[in-house]
Amino acid sequence: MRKSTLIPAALLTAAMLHAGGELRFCVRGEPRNLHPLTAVDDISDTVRYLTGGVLIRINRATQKAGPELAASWSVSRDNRSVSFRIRPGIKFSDGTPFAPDDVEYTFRQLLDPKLQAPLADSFRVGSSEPTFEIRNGAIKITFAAPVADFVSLFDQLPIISAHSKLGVKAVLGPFMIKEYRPGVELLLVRNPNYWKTDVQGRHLPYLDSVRLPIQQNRETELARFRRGDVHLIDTIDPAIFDELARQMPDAVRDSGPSLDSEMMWVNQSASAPLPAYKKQWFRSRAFRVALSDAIRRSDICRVVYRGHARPAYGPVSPSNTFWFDQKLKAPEFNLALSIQELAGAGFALHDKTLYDAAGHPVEFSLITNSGNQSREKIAAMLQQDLSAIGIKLNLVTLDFKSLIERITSSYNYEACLLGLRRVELDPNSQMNVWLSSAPNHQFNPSQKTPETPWEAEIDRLMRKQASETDRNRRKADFDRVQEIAAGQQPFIYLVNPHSLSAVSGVLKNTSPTPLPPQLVWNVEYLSVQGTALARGF
Amino acid sequence: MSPLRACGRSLSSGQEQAKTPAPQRRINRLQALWSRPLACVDFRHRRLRITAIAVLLLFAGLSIGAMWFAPDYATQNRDCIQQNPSWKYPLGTDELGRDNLSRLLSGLRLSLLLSTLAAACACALALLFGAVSGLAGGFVETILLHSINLVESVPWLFLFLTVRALLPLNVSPSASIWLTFALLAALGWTHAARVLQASVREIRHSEALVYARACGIAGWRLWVYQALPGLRRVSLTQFTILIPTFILAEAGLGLLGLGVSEPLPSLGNLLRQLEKPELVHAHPLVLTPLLVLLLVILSLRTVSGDLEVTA
Amino acid sequence: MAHRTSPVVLLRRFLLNVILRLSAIALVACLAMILVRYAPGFETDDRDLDPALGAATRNAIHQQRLAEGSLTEYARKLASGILHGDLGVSVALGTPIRDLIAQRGPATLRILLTGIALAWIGGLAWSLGLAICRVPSLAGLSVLASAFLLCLPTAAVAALMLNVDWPAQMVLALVLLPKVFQVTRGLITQAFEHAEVLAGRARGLRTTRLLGFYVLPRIAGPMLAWLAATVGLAVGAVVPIEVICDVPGLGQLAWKAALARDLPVLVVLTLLVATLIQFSSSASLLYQRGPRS
Repeated sequence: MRKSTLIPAALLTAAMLHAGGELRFCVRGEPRNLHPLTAVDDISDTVRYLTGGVLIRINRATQKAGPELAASWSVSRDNRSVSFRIRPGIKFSDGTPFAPDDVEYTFRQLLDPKLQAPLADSFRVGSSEPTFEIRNGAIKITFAAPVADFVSLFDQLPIISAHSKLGVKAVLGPFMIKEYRPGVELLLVRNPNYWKTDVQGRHLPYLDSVRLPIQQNRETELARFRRGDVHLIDTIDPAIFDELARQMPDAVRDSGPSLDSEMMWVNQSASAPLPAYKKQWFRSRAFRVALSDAIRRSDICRVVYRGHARPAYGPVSPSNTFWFDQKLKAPEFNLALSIQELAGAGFALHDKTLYDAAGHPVEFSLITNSGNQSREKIAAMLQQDLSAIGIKLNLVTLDFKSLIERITSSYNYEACLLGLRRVELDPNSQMNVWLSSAPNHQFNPSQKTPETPWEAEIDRLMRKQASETDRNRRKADFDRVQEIAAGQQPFIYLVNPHSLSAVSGVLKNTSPTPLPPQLVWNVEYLSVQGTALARGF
Repeated sequence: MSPLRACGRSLSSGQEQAKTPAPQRRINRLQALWSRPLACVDFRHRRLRITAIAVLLLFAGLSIGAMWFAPDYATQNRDCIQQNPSWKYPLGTDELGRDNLSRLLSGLRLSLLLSTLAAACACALALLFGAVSGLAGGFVETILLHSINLVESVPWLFLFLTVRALLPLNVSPSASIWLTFALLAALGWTHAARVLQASVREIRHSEALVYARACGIAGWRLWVYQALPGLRRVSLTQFTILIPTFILAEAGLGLLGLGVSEPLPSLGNLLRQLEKPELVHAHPLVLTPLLVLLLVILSLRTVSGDLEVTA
Repeated sequence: MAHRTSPVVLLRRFLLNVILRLSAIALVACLAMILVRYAPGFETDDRDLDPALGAATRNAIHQQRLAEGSLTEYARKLASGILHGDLGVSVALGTPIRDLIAQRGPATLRILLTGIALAWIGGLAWSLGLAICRVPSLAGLSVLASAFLLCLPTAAVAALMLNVDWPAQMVLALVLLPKVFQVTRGLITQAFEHAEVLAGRARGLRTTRLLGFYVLPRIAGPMLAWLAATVGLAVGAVVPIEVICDVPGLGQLAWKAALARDLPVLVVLTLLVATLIQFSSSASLLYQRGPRS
């Protein structure tokens, strides 16, 4: 074959390898709204990731931040200002040029109280609004007080156009919304003005479009995956994962522990409408530690998650490689130690029932949300585990709103089993969980002053790490927080479920990670091989 | 309904038979067949009824006896998850390693007793509303029918949520279950009431009742001895429809925090496993609660005479 | 001589009827408003669990929620809006309810109409067929099949039908079919025991003639009442069916609205259901109170 025909043939082959095509995967509900700044649920987050352009992007595989729309950035020593050098020549999807004043406009929209943007509060520091300086293609943002964790905050902030006639519909991400049929599907198409290219200089993304059918039923989603109607499923149920692993072993991916966790806690709130003796139990460190020691976490991993989970040590998953405290001692099931701890706190076990010092049998209720089968099984297992130390646990499943009402408003509950989801890498995102004065300090929220010395110490450490500029010093502070939490067990962490997913063989360049969006974090480089893909519903 | 019965005539006199024309004699024989007690019913029906009673007694005995020979419905044997049937676990184990047989028999005891009571109460309420509205007619009928429409239209889900919120979290399981079935009975009678109302109306305007009045029967005797027997079959049909409906509804109420809570099993909760076809395919024994419920319903219908077909 | 009611009296009766029905629907709406507003969790928001939110944003969310919970304000807006076709805005979805109904209504209507029709055609044909054939083994099998279907949870039927790609209408039909069959079978059997029917059989009249001229007219009233009742049953069953089969209809909307305590959507849907049930029960009552020959 002549050389002149070889080169076009090679290019053609390359083009076929990067075939583009349409990526299809299901979303499990309606997006609450499609405004890029007010994404509050998983689906809106996914759409925001696929369409939004950000200044800095955290690489989900390496967990390291990299430049995106900003060619470079620098943070001042006092953590109060950050400067971005914007890449020149970038345009929004409708052709409107991207300029530094778009960043200022985005911030002003974000901080507008009417929008109620969830990210806004992380940037609302100090008593005044941030100031902006735009000069020579760079923008410097100065806040009234130090902001911890700039990097992961900017990873979630899509830039919107100040000048485009399309408003928020003009995007800088690899895809843009073409059509939304409520209850049916969302269609995203390639952004023709997307700025990124691959190493060979080809414009990204490779894919022509992304179709997101709205499908709540997991069985149907699985059936569609088997048929080839959809190309991937993220977050698969462990039982379905095992079934799929038997039938299609090449399709399944277990990416290791996710950032999520399941945990329980007892109500230590002074204003809870509970009998005084129960409050005394719950405030006893020995009682909480005994509960933790009596729980067979390995059984939960084996039975509920079929081995696709890991016993949890604390608030940080081991997948969070930088922030996870390697020094933390793994929780071990130890019934004898549990009984010993209870005895030390004045409890006594008679005839398979535990009694406190005043003679009350230890019995309390555990609430959890209904409809989550894994959680309901965990609750049933906790019931048996705690019965081994004479505790009678009454299970109550409630609908989610009723549960939220009890744990955030009336505090009319005794113990709660819930999970942490959409957890971020940086522990600063959990500030409102660890500060004793915060409303999300679930076991004893909104305290005027810390009621215990260890909570006071945690408050001090969290505030310190928030204003610290050195990352290693921040880690040392947060490690100490994790160690205090492990000793006091205000939250009894149970398991970190694994990130389970399935990927079709026709989808190329996937690299599943435990960080969301697990399978489409590198969507620009994904491609679907094959021609004339049938559109299936 | 027999106009002959309305006039209180005896059917056994030979002299009367001689005077009675042949078609009328055939009618009399058919009537007699329907009205005779159990001992005289057709042998095939009798055998069926005895079998049905035996099945009911068997399940009742097993479910009560389970308190002694298979009491352990709660213990999780975590090394025997979803095991196949064996000597130790005749129906295998569930997803938490609990004995399916114990759970089935305990669930049967609880669900059947309460759902039968609830269905009976609901049918009684339906009969009351239906009878009163059908008999009274006019404005009273209109108001009662609007009440039925109201009960059917209101989203009672929120009442259940409120009831759960008002109950203490540590309420005893028996109190929660009784309250659940009481709520189901209080709200589940409307569909039956419609049919009964229409049936009573039909009876009220029927020629048989007119004839009975003409024979001099009046007052409560007219309704109790002439009208009510005509509602028997309709009531029994509604009763046998409501039992599985309440059993399944109780499982749904578990999503709201009412009903049976872990580790107590209920037939409704066991039947919810059927919502996973993969599980049914992998472990067909999850169909056992369905078969048991089916047998019980068929037996109840047979015993109550709901299944009789006249020759 | 036939008694003729004067047009004035008829008009008065008709107006009274309409007023009564509208009052009943309004009462249902009021009850629904009260139940939803005072159900636990109404004033909470899922964002209460978001640790990223600050105090000011939380307060703003709660104030907004409280404002949405003012029943008198909402009732006033709804009453005035209904006359202009404005049914309010969904709190959870931020979409005008009129648009939601326009988008989702046809799917639910299709499921309801087809499902009820199939259930009744199937159930009635089944009962009539058994009455005509009078084969005991067939009757026994039918009872077994109907009892089996009755014992299956709606969700299980939906999951099963999903596996074989049957549409949601079939699911509803299968859920209603055993109930329709059992009631119509019972009514037909009972009607066959009446003296005039027995007399007809004794005189050698064919079963089909007996059915057409004696049995069906006698049981038409109760059957229409049961049809009205199945409308209510169908409306209740359509919610889990649409949720499991992922049909973007009003049932799925109702479930999402219930979980989110979306007061405007729930009240409007309750009004729709109440109107539907009133309409179906009116049809039944109209027949029952019609002129008798």
